[in-house]
Amino acid sequence: MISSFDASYDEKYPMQLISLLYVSESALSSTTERQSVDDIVATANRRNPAMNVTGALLFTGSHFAQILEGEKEIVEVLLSEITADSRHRNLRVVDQHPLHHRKFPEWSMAYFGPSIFISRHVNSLLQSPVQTSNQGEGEWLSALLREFIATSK
Amino acid sequence: MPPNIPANRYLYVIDDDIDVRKSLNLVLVTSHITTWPFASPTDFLAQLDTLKPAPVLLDFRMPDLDGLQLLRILREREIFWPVIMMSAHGQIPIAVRAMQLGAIDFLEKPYQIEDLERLLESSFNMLDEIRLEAESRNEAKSKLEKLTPREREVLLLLARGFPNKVVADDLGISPRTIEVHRRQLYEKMGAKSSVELLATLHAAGVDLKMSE
Repeated sequence: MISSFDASYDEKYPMQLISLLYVSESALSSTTERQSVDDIVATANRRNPAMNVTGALLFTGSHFAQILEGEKEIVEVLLSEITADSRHRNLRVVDQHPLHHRKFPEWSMAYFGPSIFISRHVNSLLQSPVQTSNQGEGEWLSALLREFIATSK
Repeated sequence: MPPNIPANRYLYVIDDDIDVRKSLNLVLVTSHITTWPFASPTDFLAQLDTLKPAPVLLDFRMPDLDGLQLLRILREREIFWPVIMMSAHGQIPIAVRAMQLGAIDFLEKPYQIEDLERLLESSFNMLDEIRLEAESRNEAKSKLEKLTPREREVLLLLARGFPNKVVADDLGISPRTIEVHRRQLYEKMGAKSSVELLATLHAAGVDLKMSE
């Protein structure tokens, strides 16, 4: 049973909410990637509701992209775990900003499947020099994740 | 023609822009792909029954039906040929709808011809897999169609792992009758073991999860 996030929580317990978007290369082998991603989703579905973390994950076969929304400290702990996770390589935080209202009602998988189209956008974020902010592409990717979630039901 | 390049690779191009249809034809001929142009989804649908499976390169913006509407019609007709949707840059809602409707990818205009060629290569590989899957699905379905409704009930209960006795109680008939049905359905389906039986059910797309 996946419990969706209780929206009144943020109002009852004011705290510093942030939204964080990262992209990474997948280190999974193509033969076991479906099982591995299922494992990731199962763990996230088990843990994220208890930590009031919402957001969405996308997997293209070659790349991951994820938005995490939640209390700043919790999101930062999750990020350090994911950065150390051997299933990800070359992780890059594309955007991090304070959040007043969550954009995602719960945590879920937005998309799983090969897509040259999405990979190309994620790749341009990964390849851009560290100092430059590639804001346009980041916003594009956030909008893509939201659209997948908004139309999946 | 160099070796290793399969001949007769067709691509259906559906775009109302005649310049696009012409230039794709010229460009792709060097990759040994023959384009088969359609000026509208309506033209394509009119000939669909006579067409062989092939990848489809589909423009989104067209008069009468748009690309998404055609994609939906193909899904309703259970046609799962690889479809690549083309549209202007940045149209996220269209890209997302196209992929949710099973388009294999989305090409933003203007695109590099190398990107299209890469997508087409994976389309042709996918088409081979789709063809094999469809064959085994049809074969499995035609085996199931040989069964009487009663045999089908017995089969589904046995496949879920219930013993003869339980199946008999459930259907209100004797275990001996179940045994007769069982032998009959193994014979009709040409199965030698329960493993083969389950494999056929799986190939036919039968969902064995209990609905209740």
